Amino acid sequence: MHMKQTRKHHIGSLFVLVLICVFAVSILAVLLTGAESYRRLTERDRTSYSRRTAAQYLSTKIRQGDVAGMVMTDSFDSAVSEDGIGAQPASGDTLFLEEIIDGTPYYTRIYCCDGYIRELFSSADAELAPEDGEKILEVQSLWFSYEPTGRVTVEITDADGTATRLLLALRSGEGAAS
Amino acid sequence: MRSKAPLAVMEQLVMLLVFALSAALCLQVFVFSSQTSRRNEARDRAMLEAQNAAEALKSGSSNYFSEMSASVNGNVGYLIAYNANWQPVPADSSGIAYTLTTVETDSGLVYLWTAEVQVCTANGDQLAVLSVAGQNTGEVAYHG
Repeated sequence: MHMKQTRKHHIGSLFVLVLICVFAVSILAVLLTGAESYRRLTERDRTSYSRRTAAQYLSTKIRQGDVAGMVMTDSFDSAVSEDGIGAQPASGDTLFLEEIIDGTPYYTRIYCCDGYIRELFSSADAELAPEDGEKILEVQSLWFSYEPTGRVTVEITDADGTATRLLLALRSGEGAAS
Repeated sequence: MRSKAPLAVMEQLVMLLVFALSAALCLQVFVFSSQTSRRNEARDRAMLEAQNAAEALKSGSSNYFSEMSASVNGNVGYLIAYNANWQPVPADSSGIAYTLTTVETDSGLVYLWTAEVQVCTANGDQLAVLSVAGQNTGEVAYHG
């Protein structure tokens, strides 16, 4: 009789223990699900933010510098003369926005170097390296191209490798990129 | 002496029940936040595509629409179909997740063209809408 009671008592304790384990596992599962959900959410938001910010930054810079003949695309180290960057190629890894200050041409170069969009403002004859530019935003690559109709296309590959295409019709028209 | 095990079991069962209810609510919130985040990401992307289409309309060139495999949407605009990764696909292909349509609208003025760019999911859920307008002179006209 006493042995039967002891066994019952042991089974009861074991059941309580099993329930505690089930409870602990459930808590862990919910916590892990929550953490995973939050991680995916922040990652998605970060990617969206990065894509949107890069597109808006480039769009704003081009709009600000949208003056006929002052928006150009070329390679960073293209020979910049006092008369401009010469023959306009159809595409390049650097966007040039020209400004004339006191009769001297200055360029804002926007390009990608060491995984960052960079911006560099200098006079036409300044000898500067791509590393000298100000870091703006993390991306993998940037590519600019233009059509004689005044259409500028920017290909942005963000840090995650997702490519985004941004299209801008220059308000200054066909002369903008000639 | 009576065992206290049944009481402990009852306590544990009540605890599990309360926890199950809370967990169900939490999971519901997780799923909802994930859906909202996905929708926001799609809206972001949709707005970018709508802006691109609006800029293409403003430039007066149909090259962009040709590059994006756009089909003519009746006689009033273009239709671009995208797959789930926002890659343009032909409008008659399978696996279309999003569509962009441009529709010419009546500005009521002779020298002004207006159009509406709309991006929707395959289910017809609207993600982004943009109104575009431009001067209707010479080549800078709406080529819908």
